[in-house]
Amino acid sequence: MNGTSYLLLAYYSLKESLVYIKNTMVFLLFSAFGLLIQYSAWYALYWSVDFMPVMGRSFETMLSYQILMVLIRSFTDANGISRQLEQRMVSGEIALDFLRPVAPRGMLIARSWGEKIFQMATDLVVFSVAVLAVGGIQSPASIEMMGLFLLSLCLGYLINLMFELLMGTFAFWFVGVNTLKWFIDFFQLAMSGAIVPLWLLPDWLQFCTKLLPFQAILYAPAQIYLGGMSNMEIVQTMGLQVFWILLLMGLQELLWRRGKRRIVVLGG
Amino acid sequence: MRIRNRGCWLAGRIVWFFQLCAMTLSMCWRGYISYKGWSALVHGIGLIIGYLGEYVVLYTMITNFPGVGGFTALEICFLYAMGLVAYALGNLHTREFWRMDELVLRGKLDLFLVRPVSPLLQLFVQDIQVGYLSHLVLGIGSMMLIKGMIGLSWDLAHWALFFFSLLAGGILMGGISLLTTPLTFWWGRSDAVTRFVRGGMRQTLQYPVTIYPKFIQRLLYIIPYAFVCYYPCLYLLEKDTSPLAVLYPFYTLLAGVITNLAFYLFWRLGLRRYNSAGG
Amino acid sequence: MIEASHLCKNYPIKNHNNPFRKDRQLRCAVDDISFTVSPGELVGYIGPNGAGKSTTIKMLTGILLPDGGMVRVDGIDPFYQRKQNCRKIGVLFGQRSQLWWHLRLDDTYRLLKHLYEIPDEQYRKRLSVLREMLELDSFWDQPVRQLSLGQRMRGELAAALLHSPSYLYLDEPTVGMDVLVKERIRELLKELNRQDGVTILLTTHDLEDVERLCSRVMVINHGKLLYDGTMAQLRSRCTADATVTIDIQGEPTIIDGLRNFRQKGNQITFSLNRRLGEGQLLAQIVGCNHVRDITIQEPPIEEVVRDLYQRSGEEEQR
Repeated sequence: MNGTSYLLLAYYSLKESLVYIKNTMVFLLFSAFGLLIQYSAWYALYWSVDFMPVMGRSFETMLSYQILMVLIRSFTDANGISRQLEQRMVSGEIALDFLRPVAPRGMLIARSWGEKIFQMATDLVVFSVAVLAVGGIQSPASIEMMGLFLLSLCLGYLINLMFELLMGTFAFWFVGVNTLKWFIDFFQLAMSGAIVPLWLLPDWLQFCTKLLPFQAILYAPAQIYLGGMSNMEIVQTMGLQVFWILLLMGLQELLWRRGKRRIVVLGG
Repeated sequence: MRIRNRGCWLAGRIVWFFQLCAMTLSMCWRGYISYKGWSALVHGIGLIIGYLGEYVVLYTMITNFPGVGGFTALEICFLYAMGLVAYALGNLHTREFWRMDELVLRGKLDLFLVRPVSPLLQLFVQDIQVGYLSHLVLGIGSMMLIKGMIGLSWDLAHWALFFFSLLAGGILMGGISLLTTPLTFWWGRSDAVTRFVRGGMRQTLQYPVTIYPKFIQRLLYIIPYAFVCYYPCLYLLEKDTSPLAVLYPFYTLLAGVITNLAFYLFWRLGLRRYNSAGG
Repeated sequence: MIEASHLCKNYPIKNHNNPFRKDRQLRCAVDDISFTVSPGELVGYIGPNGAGKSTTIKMLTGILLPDGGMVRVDGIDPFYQRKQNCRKIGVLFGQRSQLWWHLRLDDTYRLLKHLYEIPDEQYRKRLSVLREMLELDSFWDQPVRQLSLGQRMRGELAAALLHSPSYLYLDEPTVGMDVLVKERIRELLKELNRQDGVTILLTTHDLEDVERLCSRVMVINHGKLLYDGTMAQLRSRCTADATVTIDIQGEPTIIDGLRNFRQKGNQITFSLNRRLGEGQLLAQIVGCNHVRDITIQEPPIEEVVRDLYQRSGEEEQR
């Protein structure tokens, strides 16, 4: 268990990603095009109300939200850890991972950071271009808010990470977690505020999203940044984020321990 | 007499082709079930939940506004569902082309070239995506529901053109998915371009074409996404009440024929290169 | 009858250092190859990686269009009359499967029946013959993904033979198999050739395949046909050494000029090369000793072929 080996793993996976520079261009194109489509839609929607604020949010706030979301999504993305975990379990590599000096989950996370740095770099390009194109986005109310935003962002990442690990751990028992995850991603996209800010949803639906961890990943940090919350609400939101992390982590740890025993039994 | 023989021969070919489709459809279905087993069911349920979420969010979001590009929230959902159906129909038969690099670089295409049937035809039926049938059911079902909610009353012509539009949209979508795949014959890999055309640009289907910036609109006529569901919907949702609007579904078919023809010629060119350069 | 005359095929080479440069360099993959294969022959086509074996097979089967020369299979041009040709040939690519992975064998076969439009009666007969010959019954009910490599290859063979082709092209049929399975496949091919009179042309790295199977062998390297003839003749052209072991009664009398000479009690061993006229030495040593037993071990086939490749390389350098 030493830190350098994790750093090395991250470094190698970063280098691996750099080989596929062509794919990067596609990523860039995808995110830029997606952003453009969303911009067009919001523009057309706000045009229909003569750019008056809707649910208390102006067009500028909406744009800032969408552009900010590029970075938030990029940072909180767990880069398919559950998929990799399932692959290793299906192929039986996981048994070997337990014999290595680095912890299997730590190894996966370290590798995902290599990819992540790369992906964040490309998304930063899209972000900067978008910010320049619309002539700047809203900034947080104060330095303290910015700090809280960053903290909440990290918490959001941890929630997503724990969730991915939990999903991956299910692969000890079922095949096909991958497909399931695909649909959950899809559902998550709708329920986390990635495309539609949750303030536009009716109250009953907003209540539903509060029951799921997804909105705490993306929507919560964005709200703190845009100043849509009172101090009390911020404390509550972050408390909720911590709650989700602890819950998911506990669940994951429990299942992981049970799953590990299964490997010993199966591996014989 | 000769014409009659020709006719018989053609009829025989058509029967033969449908038998082939039925055969591979059954094979793909059984393969899918034997591979997926119970997870096929999970797949179906997950799909419905995922899309329901999308619908609800899309709908509730737009109800905060009078509309987008002249379409109300329900009409946008209709557009969205139609895009779903077109996408599913258009990708029933084109999955084998998602793996063009395997076909061309690793020479899997050779297997199809040593059989006495056109390789293109064989590739179409090689991997029929039975999983997309759930998209079809979901898409058409939700369109029916939305139609009721909007309160449209269709006459027979509308009904006929509705199904016609779905089919034509599927044909067009198939052509679009295929259009850029022969690039692999030259570049070795084309998945980036193809993924963008098939996946990235597909997002444009859920809104009226008129809301996009001019250059994107132009792009949507070159790679004719504009005709997949926007134009038929102008007629079906009675957005355009001029008598000529009845022609819109036929534009879709025309665009579909042209796109598929363009793909065919491009494919032929690519195959010639494959034959002369050996991949 | 397969006729190939003055076949040529060039590939453009990509300039990897600078992909934007347009100067087209050509590499000759197949260079002026001519041969004929008569019906009923079993021909081995060997050469190292990248020698042009696969390219030749692709031209013979009509996948590739030759840049020069021509191919005729029973008078048909395989490229321009592809569909006609396809009904007559069976092709098996060792590394590319045409079986449907998740289904049983007979699903693939029924699809092939439809594609080749084989009449019912003929299909039934043919299938029962193949099932018996290739012993498919033991795994008939399993999906292909559960078959072992050898079983799957038998399944592939049946798929290639279903439409009763008179010519069978095999591209690396034994690659990746263990010794026993290889042996089994070889036997089957031999039987096919003998019983059904199928003309077989197979490419391989594995020289043992050729030695066990083929009446005739063609060797190719750098796109040129180096040798075309029987196995025995190939050996006789070889410059590699044979190893002679002689058991002698009493104390051996040694003569000068023996290479790699070793003595172990009454047994002596040395190298002998016919091409260098060393047969004389053998005569001498037999003359001056009381010989109990002689073994002459011919150079292994790998040696023979390596020797052939090496010489072709030297010629090219000159």
